[in-house]
This record gives sequence, structure tokens and C-alpha cells, in this order.
Amino acid sequence: MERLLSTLLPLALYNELIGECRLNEITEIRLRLQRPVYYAIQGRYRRLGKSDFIATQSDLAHVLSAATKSSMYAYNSNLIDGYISYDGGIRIGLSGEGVLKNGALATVKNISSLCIRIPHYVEIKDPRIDSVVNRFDNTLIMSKPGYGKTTLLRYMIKSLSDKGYNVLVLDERGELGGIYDAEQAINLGDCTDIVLGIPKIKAYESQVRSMRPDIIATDEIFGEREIDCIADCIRCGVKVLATVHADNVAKLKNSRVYSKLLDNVRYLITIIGIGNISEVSDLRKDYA
Amino acid sequence: MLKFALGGILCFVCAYLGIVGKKYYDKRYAYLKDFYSFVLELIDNISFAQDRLSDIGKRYADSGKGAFRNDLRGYSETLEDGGAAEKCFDSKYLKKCDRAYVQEFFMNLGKVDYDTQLSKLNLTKAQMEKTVSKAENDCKTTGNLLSKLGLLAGIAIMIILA
Repeated sequence: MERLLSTLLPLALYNELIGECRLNEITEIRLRLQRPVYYAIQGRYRRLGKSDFIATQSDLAHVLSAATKSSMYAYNSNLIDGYISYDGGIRIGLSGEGVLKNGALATVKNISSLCIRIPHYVEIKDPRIDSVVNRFDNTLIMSKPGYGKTTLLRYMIKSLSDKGYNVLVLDERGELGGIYDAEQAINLGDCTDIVLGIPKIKAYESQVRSMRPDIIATDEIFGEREIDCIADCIRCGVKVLATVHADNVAKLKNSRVYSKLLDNVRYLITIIGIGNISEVSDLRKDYA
Repeated sequence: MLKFALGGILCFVCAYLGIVGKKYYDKRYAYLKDFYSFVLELIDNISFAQDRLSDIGKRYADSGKGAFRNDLRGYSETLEDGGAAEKCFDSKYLKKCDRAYVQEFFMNLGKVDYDTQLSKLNLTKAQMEKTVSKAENDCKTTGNLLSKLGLLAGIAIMIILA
């Protein structure tokens, strides 16, 4: 990961970072044009540099150039989606000025903010999670953004894979497995297959038939179409492990679209703070 | 006898200088022609396959020989290492203005979105058509003239000395 960051970040910024903290602890770096650089360790943001390190146009250009391997033209669809996937599971969120063509977003120019998210694998010691893994059934992990859903998802994927389940990971944004030079940068287990960069809706249709998974794992379920795909997978007998953004269970239940998810899952894991698993509910037991 | 030998040497030197002059124009033309055809290759690739710049560069460099291809190979390798790759285009066969143009082209290459990149490439293509045509003309006229002048000057020196 250090090698990847040394290529991705401008030298001055990289040197400042390694002078201030251990790189493997950083979960996020935020660059805003002509504003101080912030980085996050365990969810807490800190300003970089004793006398603030200000991000310049050339710093942002360096990161974008490195992230796109100097081939920005090949990342147009990613620019439209607001992120670029870099090696090792690093995801770079970006915002700038949209360019419309015939009413549709054609590209993003004058990028002024970057949010570099660095993936980590964390061993989670929680008997409730172990219990879900041991008696695995359809599971939904729910929390606000940035609370550690993806980290828990990674841990559960590896645990299930280690138990011999064939786990198919739908990693549209390349941040779960962190592929680097065709190898997994983050170990997700020996029985894990990673579908990288394929739109999830397409992957549900094609990969379920071709890869015959026991479990499908995916991050950040979004929209009715995906929820229908998940319902289809469950109907076919494939178990699902997924995450969803939600403030609390009540909001999920009240949503016309997302309430369907709760009808299909057995375990609901709620995270209420950074890495703080508040509740693991067995919905079947609760409804019984 | 000494005069004859001296005349021979001077004739050889003059002819050699003429050939060097012609070679410069030939190499310059070949460099710019290769650069132009690389721009065409880029337009094709970016319109369809959208391969990485370093891959397109390597593939093109390996498909033949020449000064431009050598520079391009160095550029592609430097790109992968994350260095200032445009400095690779520092050929002695280029005029100062040509060199600045090529370096600026590579400095900005791959740093803009798809539509802007294609527009820029098409603009470069149009500009390079003229430059290559002028370089070919220079090669045929000035290059050939230099080689002939060199030989003639050598013979003239020989006659004078004789």
C-alpha cells in the first residue's frame, strides 16, 4: 500500500504524510483546491502539516494522472460516476464541473476536490459476527457512510470463504478485493471469486449462472433494480451478504424500495459509530 | 602530389558534410512522419479500444525502428514509473520549435477527458499534416541541395588546388 501511495501522491504531500503518521493507519485523504489537506485515521480528520499543506492544481493533476495511468480519456464513464478506482482497492471520489451534452452528463472537468479512500482489512473480534458466519443466511449490514460497513463486509467475506463457501464478490468499484496487477491486494480467502469493474446489474445476471456461487457479496446496494436482482438470487437459492446506507432501521422499513430488502434477509447488522456494531438482529426470530 | 592528396581530403570532407546535412533532413522527416502516424494510431485507439497510453506507446514503438520510436519507448517506460515523460522527446534531429511542439503534445497527452482528447488529437493531426509535408519538401530540396553542394564544393576545391 505504501508503494501505491508513493506513486499516487505528489512527493511533497507523501513526504509530509510519512513525517506525520504511519501510512497504514490512514483511511482517507482529502484534497481540495487551494485548501488545506486533511487525512483521516480511525474516522478522525486531521489537518496535514504544521503550517497547513495547501493542495494546488498541480497536486490534484498529479493524483488524477497517476490514478488514470496518464490515460484520462479511458476513464470518462468513471468521471461521470464521480470516482476513479485505483490499484489495491483505493477509490478516489472526485467533484468538479459537469459538462452536459444533449441534456446528459458527458464528463466532469475542472476537478477541484478529491477524496482518496484507502481500504484496510481488519480482524473483527465479535462473537455476534462469528455466530452469523457460523449459521450463515442472507445478511444485510446497515450504517451511515464511513462507519465501517465495507471493512466488516471484507472480514465476513474472508471468514465465509475460509469456511469453504464459494463467495462471489461483485466489486464494481474495485475497492473490496483491491486488485493490483491481477492479484488480490487484500486477502479475501481462497474460495472467493471477484468480479471486478462489471456493472452489478449485469454481474447478477451473468455471473450467478457462470460461477455457481454459494454466497454473493456486494457493497452499497442502490436502487430498485439491484434489490430486484438480489431477490432473484435469493429465489435461486444463492445467499446474499450486502451492505446498505441507512440512518436507522425505521427509515429502511418506511422506504417503499428498501423495505423489500428486509423481507428477504435474515440477519441485520447495524453499525452506529465508526466500527461500533450496535446490533445483530435475527429478523426471522424477531418476526416469529 | 601533396596538393592532390589535400584536395582529395577536402573534397571528401565537403561531400561528407553535405551528406550529414542531407541525413539531418531525412531523419527529421522520418521523426515527424512517425510522430504523425502515432497521432493517427492514438486517434484510432482512443476512439475504440481506449488502451492505456503506455501500452499504446510500447506497441507502436515495438512495431518498427527509428529515433521517434526509441523516444516513445522511453516515454512509455517513464510513464509507468510516474516520471516527467515528455522530456524523453529531446531528439537532435528536431528543430527547436518542433521539439517544443512534440514535448508540449506529450506533456498534455492523457490529461483530459475523452471528447477533449479526441478534439486535441484531431487538431494535432491537421497541424502535423502541414509540418510533415513541409519536412518532406525540405528533405527533397534543401537536403538534396546540401549533398550536391558538398560534393561540388569539394570538387571545386580540388580543381583550385590542382
